[in-house]
Amino acid sequence: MHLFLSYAREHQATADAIVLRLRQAGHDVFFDKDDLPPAESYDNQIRQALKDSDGLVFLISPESVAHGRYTLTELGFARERWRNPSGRVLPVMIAPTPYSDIPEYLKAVTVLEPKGNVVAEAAAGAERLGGRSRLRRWAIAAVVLALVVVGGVAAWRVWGPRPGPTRQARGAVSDLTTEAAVAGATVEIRCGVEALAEGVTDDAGKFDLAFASCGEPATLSVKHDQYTQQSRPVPADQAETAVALLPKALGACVIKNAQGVVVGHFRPPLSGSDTGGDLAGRIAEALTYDVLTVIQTLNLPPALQPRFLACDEAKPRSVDFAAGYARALGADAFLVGSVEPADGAFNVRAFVGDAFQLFKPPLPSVTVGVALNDPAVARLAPEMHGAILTAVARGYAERRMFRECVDVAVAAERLIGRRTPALDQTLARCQDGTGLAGLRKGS
Amino acid sequence: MRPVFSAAAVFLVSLGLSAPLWAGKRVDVNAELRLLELGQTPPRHIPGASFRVAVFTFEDPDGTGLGDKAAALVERAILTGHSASSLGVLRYEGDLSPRQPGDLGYFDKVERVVASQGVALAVWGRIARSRGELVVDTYAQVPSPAVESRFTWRLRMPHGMGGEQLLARLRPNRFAVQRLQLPLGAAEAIRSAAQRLDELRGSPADSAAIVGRLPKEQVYTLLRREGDWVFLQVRGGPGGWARMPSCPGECGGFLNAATFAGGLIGYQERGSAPPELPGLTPEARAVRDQLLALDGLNDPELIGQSIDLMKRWSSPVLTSSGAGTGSQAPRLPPGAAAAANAAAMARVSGLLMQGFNEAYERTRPELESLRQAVREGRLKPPVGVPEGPGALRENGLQSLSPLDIGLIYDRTAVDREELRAIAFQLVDAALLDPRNPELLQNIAVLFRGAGDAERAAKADRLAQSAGR
Repeated sequence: MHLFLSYAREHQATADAIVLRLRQAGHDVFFDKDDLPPAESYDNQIRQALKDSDGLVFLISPESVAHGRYTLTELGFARERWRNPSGRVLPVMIAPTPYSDIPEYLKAVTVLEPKGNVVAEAAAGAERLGGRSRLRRWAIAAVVLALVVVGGVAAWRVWGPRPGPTRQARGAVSDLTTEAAVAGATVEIRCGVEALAEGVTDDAGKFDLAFASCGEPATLSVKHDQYTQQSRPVPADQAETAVALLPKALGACVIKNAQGVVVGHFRPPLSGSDTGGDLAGRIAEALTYDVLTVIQTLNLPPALQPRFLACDEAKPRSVDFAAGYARALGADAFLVGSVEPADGAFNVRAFVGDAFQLFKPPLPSVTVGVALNDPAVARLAPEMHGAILTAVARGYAERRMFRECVDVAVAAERLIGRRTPALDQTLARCQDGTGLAGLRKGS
Repeated sequence: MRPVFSAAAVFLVSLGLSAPLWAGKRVDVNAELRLLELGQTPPRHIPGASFRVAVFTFEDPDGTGLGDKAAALVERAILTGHSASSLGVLRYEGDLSPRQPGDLGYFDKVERVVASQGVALAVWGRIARSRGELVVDTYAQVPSPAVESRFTWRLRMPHGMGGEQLLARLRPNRFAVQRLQLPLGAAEAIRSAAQRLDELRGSPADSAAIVGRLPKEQVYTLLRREGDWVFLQVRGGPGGWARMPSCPGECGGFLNAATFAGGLIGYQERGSAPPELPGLTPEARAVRDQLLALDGLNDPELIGQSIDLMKRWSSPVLTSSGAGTGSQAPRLPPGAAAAANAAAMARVSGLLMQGFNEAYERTRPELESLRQAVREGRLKPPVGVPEGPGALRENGLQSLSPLDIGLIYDRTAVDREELRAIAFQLVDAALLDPRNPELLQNIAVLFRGAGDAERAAKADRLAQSAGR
């Protein structure tokens, strides 16, 4: 089925995930309008794409229904295409939006308000699009399928079941944050509900299981009482599978469907001095005050702004694992540090690691001579703010939000007062991604 | 000194009728937010005022207890130091700080609250302790509708060059006005200065008896001034004298932020930029200079200054900071891309003014037949003609009617290569501000004017997607 996805750029990440799911389900999805060829007018190309579509998935958010947004123009084209949206248009509420702001055309059909996994529910809803002709096609297909099944069952009975060839599933299990081998993890191969093989990882975290092929993709799942369970298909080519597990203690620290920074544990002074408690929480709060204000001056929509999450349970054995923690927690940057006594006061030492290898080793900063009951202890130096913004900018780039990346990188530059190599690299990549370079002289 | 208001004016205001007034109101911000969360629109406060300013409690992450006090000083400084003929100042009380990850931040919450009030400007700030000092940051934000209606400049190109508009909008529209570092002792000065603001006395003297206090949720109107005192009349309640805001010692500079904010309101009414004040941030100075430069777009005398002014804000400057690793790249001034856009518009305007003289010579022989065509309806009368050529007329091109000016303007041409060069400069600027749709749109207009259709189409597409 040809589907058209209409969404506001602020929700690019959600749109990307829905498109991926729909394409995996075999649908052809038109959504990446930045890649349109320059031959025709933009409006005409969008209108034509809608004409060629069997249905429209409209992601409702305050931004997508805001006056003047191009999503409303797309909705106008959809109205030209289908005067009756029933069976053709699927509105999906992906961010709380006042009902009064939703265009009447969308309200004419049931608005899907996902209760759990937005991507899965939106994709499932899209499956039902296609109108009456599609229903008719489905009915015919169902009859044909029924005949095939009946025939298949008869053939099965005649020739009987044959055991499939034996296959191997081998690989290694490691800790997502430290990359250390995880021994004693239970590895299970399943075919649907049927368990085909089970084993336990050795001291090097390795497993090697033989199982009978069952004629459909087998699933490998790994369980350990200290880690969150993970499942994935067994690779068809019998390649080694690397499974990285997230420690259960960090489950609440994962940043989902957003960009963000996680502030991990700050080791208190060995002297046992009172630190005022919850340094991670105080630093996360200070970052919310300081860095979020900078980002808000850029007019970035709230849905795109990064979160600052305190996670005292995140205690890497060494600051060198900061990057691994950032990746494991879905964060752009991860902070960790310690408090040390110095000359009657304290030095607060912080390190920034990031998910993109921008700061390798993690970037250090020291705030010297602070009294721990002083709220300022939780404030980081401007260069740390700059480093965090650089990582956040890079996070936008990874999500192909190059314009937002440039804005945040420029803000980081203003904050730091110079271009660091990490910033140079990030800015260049994002400027390249904006498509503006093609307008430059000599291009 | 401001004219004294008559009782009749107060009566009109009390009836909710539009009349000149200067009024204030304390509003509970959390009550407003609750209404908004329920999908309801709060009533418009001080509806009779032509301009409304919202002042919010300053963020107070370190619990100094000065958030409301600082806001009260700013509110009263704007109300009493205003230059608008009709002004309502809303003082929103209550903390807007984000409570948990993912909460809206201050700027976004402020935007949400003011959206229902149609305010022209919002002011808030933050007071924090840092190493034995108080750091007081004051921010201003001009809501999008106000930017659209009052801080947008347009320059229509001649029909011969496509007739499209070049556009500039105030950027940044959320910015720090002032960052002040005060000794911790200044906290007491701010506290006591703010406390006096809500006391109403029987006569304009500190020794006079207190006859009432300004209540919440009631409009109070400024009726007259006397020295450092103003007479405030609470609607349906007491009236009395309150001190003009003043902050002794080092905290006195804090009120400059309020003066600047009041100047932005004055600009919206009269078009004069806020005064140059000591201690303002580069962002505030950039905003002020943008206003000056864009207002000079149509003035042949000022166009050169506009270009120079904006060049200064669009060129990277070398800074002494830069400890540690990293290249010593020049630092970008705030609003650099917007300044480059303003500079580009000023340059195009200047070229058009030059081209107008030539167009006049070329068009003169056929001017009468063109007029005739307009009269007979065969030719549409020119609309949206910039004032620049009209101003030029006073400098030499005599006896041209507005119709003649429009007809000549639409036949004005400028060198395509010059337009192309300006467009390329804007492309470089856009690389630093790629979400700026007017910048991208201007690039498209300029490339089209220069005959580069391919780049124009590409810029169009980028502008469209930047606005999505």
